[in-house]
Amino acid sequence: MRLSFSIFVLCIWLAHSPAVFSSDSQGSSQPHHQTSLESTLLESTLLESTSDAAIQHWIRNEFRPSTISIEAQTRELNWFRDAAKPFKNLTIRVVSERIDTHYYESNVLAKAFYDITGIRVIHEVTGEDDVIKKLQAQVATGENIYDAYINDSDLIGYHFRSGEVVKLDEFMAHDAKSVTLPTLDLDDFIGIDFTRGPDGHLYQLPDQQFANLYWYRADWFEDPNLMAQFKTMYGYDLGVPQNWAAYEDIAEFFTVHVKTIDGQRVWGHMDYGKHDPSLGWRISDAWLSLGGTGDKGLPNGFPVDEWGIRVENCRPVGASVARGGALNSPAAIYSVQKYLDWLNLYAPPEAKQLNFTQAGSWLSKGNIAQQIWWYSAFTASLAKPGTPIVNEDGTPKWKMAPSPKGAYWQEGMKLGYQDAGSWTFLTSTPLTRLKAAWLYAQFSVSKTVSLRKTLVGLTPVRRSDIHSDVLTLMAPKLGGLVEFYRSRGPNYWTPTGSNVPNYTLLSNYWWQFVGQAVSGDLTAQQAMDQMAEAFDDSFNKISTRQPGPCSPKLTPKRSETYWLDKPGAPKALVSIEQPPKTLPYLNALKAWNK
Amino acid sequence: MKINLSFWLSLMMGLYAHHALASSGQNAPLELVSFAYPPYISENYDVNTGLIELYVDQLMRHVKQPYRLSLMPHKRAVLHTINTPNTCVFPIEKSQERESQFQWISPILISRLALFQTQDSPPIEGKVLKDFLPYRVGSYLGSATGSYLESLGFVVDYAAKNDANVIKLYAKRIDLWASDVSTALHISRQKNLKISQPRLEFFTTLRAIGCNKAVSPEVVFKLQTELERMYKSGEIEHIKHNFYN
Repeated sequence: MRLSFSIFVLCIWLAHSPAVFSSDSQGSSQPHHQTSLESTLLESTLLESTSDAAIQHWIRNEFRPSTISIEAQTRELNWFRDAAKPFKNLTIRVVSERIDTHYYESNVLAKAFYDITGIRVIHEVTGEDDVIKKLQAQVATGENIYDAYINDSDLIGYHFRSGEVVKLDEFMAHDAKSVTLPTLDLDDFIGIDFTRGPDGHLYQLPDQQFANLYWYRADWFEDPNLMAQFKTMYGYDLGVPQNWAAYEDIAEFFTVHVKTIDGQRVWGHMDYGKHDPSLGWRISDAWLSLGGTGDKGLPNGFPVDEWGIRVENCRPVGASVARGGALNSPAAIYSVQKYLDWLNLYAPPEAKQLNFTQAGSWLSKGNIAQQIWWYSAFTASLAKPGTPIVNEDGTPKWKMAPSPKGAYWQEGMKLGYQDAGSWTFLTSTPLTRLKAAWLYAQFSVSKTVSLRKTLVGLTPVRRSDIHSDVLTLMAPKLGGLVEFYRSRGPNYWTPTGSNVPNYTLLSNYWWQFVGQAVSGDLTAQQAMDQMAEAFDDSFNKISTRQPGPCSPKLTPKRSETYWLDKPGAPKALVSIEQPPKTLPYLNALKAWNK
Repeated sequence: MKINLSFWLSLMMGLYAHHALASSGQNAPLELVSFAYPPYISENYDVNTGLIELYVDQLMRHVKQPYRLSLMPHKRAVLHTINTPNTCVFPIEKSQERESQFQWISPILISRLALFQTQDSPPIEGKVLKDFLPYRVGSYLGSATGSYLESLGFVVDYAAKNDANVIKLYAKRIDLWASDVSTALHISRQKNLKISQPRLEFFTTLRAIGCNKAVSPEVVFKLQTELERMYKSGEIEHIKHNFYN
């Protein structure tokens, strides 16, 4: 119906268009002189019809399935078309990291948005570190480098302190009222709390999320022979490890005792240790929280978080134990030491020389039994048919499950890391461009496109998508991803929080110090002692550059015993680990529903 | 004698492309190294004819930091700075791999990469970068531009040097030339071969000054603070405007 109407209007326009159909002066056609109002109306109607056609094209050819009906999608996209009119022909520039979800946005959604609204979007994709550098450069210089950034919510501590990031709740209520999608439905976003500051303001809008989970070869763990062998050797069932003691036993079992399966050398652990920036996020993406370093509290421990940073109200006051922090606490040392021990004892020997990207290809080779630290963003690549880790029917031989906890972990603590790449807008961006970019951001997470985008990148942000029938059908082929996101697990796997006052500055220390422990130049204790001191020193610099009521202020040093004797973090030495414990897969999933 | 004196004077000017600033504080001159990168860094030892040289000169003047600038090949400039105290190199990318090797003053340059055709070619249209995938794109060996496009699936034809690409464009050996916008315009003018408006400015690059780790952190902090002030006050834009006009 709409298409026919569009053709009808097109014919009317063409029939009356003097530029197209006027003949030469000797021709039989008589020029038709229109008033400018008629021309404007006709052009406007034509353009709207063109946009209508574009809307229907994109809905029917790209944006199905969706959790909303075609009619509802049409209403949403009509809204975008109308709201974007003041910004037509504007070119805006945004930037994000390089994952499948963002390539989809850059290649497909930007094109759709242009067809529907007339706003051209240059959506650059680059490394996450480059995104952060560019955001910082815009803040430092005031230059309008980009109109929006998709930036991890790990920087929330910087964002709410800097005064340079648009408070989206205020923006939507005032300047952006006319360009805020009525059906945006913030309550539908599972990670919206990650992007709120301690002041209650919303600083970012989630665009994609993925979690760091435990990965294992379910087929090997369910093999009767291997199960019997494990039970004989260790006295308990081979299953999903619930603690690090069990993880370590399983790692030893496959690396030292099983050694080969079907003629292939196998390993009970995989990791990486190259002295490279990627070693940083190996540890900071909540390794210490898994070990049990910080305090209880969600989304992040309070007053001491999983980076070992203590805050008083919102002020970071120290990372070293001497100042009440936990970065060089017994729990932190234990966590780093376990990372080192397993890397040296149970991972392939090449692992120490691998960085994150290089290590990522190992799981698909089919010779790794388990990996305690694994991003669910790689679900799609590991679920590809035709690899050694996928069955002929397309179901994976592997599963993901809740991460096993270290000796210092307690109920009420976060359980692991979740990445939340989120739309971030800087106050230095001119308002017109800000509004146009806000329209694009909302388009990229709207219910019209979000399920399709989730199916491409497997990085869901909406509750409605996660609980859709489509994902129910796909679940058997996704190794537990849907089960995780349908559980309460996403509340316990959380990004870096607001205790970290300057993520960019402090994150560099992780790989620089832990790298020296990997090489043996420092012990784990020395590395963490020096890193804690570097953190404390940095707090002074940060407070100079980012003054404010929540800027760091070092608390005086006290004896470590003073702090270790107090309840909470930093926690005193645990001399005896809990006995190893495993659970069958389905029982292990229940941990996500606590 | 006079001829010899002139020769030696010219040689010194060539080797040290700028004078040391006198200051009441008598700071030791900072050794700056760079590499030919027109129009940003002059290629013929002409003093302060490159855009970034102008930025740096103003920056140093503002903080009363004496300096000496010398040019050498890119890789040597980077290695020299890593190994030589009191030395900084510019303009280089602050990559994650390099980050811990230097102290940084950034950004000294914000620029864009774009796709160009010859001026008279029928325009190749595209709404997004991927629309240009079917076309042959020219870049030059060692260029991060080419590597970036290859990572997105482009087939990139590499020339030995960037200025050969405008010739390849006219020879129809490539359909599009991927280059820094200012560099492309400079080469186009030099070769007197006109190029189109950018078909798409597809990527943004930042460049920085990287200083040896032994350079005083106070000096680095002072330069960084002043650089930020120059941006916010509009001085950088003013220099750029005058340079291009």
